[in-house]
Amino acid sequence: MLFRKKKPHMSAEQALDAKPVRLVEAEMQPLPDGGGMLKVSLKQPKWGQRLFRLPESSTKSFEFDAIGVFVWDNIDGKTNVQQIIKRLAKRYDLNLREAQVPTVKFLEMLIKKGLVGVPMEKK
Amino acid sequence: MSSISQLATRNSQLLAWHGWNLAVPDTWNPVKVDGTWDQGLMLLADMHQAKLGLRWRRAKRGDPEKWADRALKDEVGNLAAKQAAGFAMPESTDWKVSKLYADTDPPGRDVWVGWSNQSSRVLEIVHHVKTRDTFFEQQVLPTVSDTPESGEQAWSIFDLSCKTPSGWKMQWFRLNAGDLTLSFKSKKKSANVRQIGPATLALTRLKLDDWIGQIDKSLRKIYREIDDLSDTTLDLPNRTLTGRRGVLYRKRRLFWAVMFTKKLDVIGVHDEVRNRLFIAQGDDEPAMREMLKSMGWAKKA
Repeated sequence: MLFRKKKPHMSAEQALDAKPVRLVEAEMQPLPDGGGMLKVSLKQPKWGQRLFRLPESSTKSFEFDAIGVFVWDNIDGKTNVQQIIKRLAKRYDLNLREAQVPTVKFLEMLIKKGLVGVPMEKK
Repeated sequence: MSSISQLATRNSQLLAWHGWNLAVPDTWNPVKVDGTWDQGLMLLADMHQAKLGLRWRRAKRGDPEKWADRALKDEVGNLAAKQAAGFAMPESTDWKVSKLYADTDPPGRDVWVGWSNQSSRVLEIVHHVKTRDTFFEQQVLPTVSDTPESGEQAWSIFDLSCKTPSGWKMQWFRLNAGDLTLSFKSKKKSANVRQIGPATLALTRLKLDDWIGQIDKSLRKIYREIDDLSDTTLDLPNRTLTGRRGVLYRKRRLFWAVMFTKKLDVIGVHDEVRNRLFIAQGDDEPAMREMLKSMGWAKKA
């Protein structure tokens, strides 16, 4: 508890202005239903090298639906979250709130999985 | 009722909920909705902050002027309430009292209170202002209107809009992104309308038949699964929608459960123009069809 790193706090305004970046280099392979498959190569954790060794070709797959692919395509480090929401709303003729909720949830999940990061400015 | 749909401009959307109608910018959306016809609240916000709060309740007997003063006093305090002035609504006969307090030193909030003659309910609207402008007074307040409880009701929230015949009241609602459901009842009859969108994405996940076959968790123990579906059509003024229709029968072993209707009709249609699926489920097919026909009334052409 004492040595746990403090999580940086982000206001709602900052979160919407943030420009998410991809943390993995992987090609999105399109699926017939409009979605996509992202294959990410697994990295061997340092502490795990002594216990077991991962095969070099080992990958982890993430399946995206069409909206997920759209959001992923817009994560380029230049587009902020607010712009992604607006583009999604326009693309699928959605209400802004209806676009905002899934986009934010989806980005949170991508961040948790380590696929996407949000750069923060130092105070 | 027809004049309501004309209120929306290019960048505004219509909000119709429990008889209240108003036009708000399309960037303002409900983030909190609660209550019934008699009493309730709604909070609208844009992507950054709260914008508008609505609070209503059935009016008790008493002097409307005194009530308005007291409501303003509770909301903004004694001194500020004294600065409130009467606000002329376009349909002045619809309101017993209409008073507005505009904050002179923003950031702050403007508060409008009104006593509706149409439904004998009182409505309080709080607008959060950052800088002094006349947007609330000139764009939002003049669009506020009320409908009597006994007449046809218009509903419009997020992307879902429909009209219910007279006598139908809201039972419950579920507003998930892309999957919006409103449930209504009239005496012993009930009907749910559900809108799923975008249809192109929804249909890649499940076929229309499977969407129709989805029974609410609470009803799964009572009704059997739909076994046969037939084609159906829904005639709109300018086009015809095609879809599927089925019937849910109560499980035989629950023959004694008379509180649940013997069968429920389910109609599902695909509106290709609007890219949405509309599903209605209930025990009053004519009313369900009326509701389905009115889906999207608030959407600008």
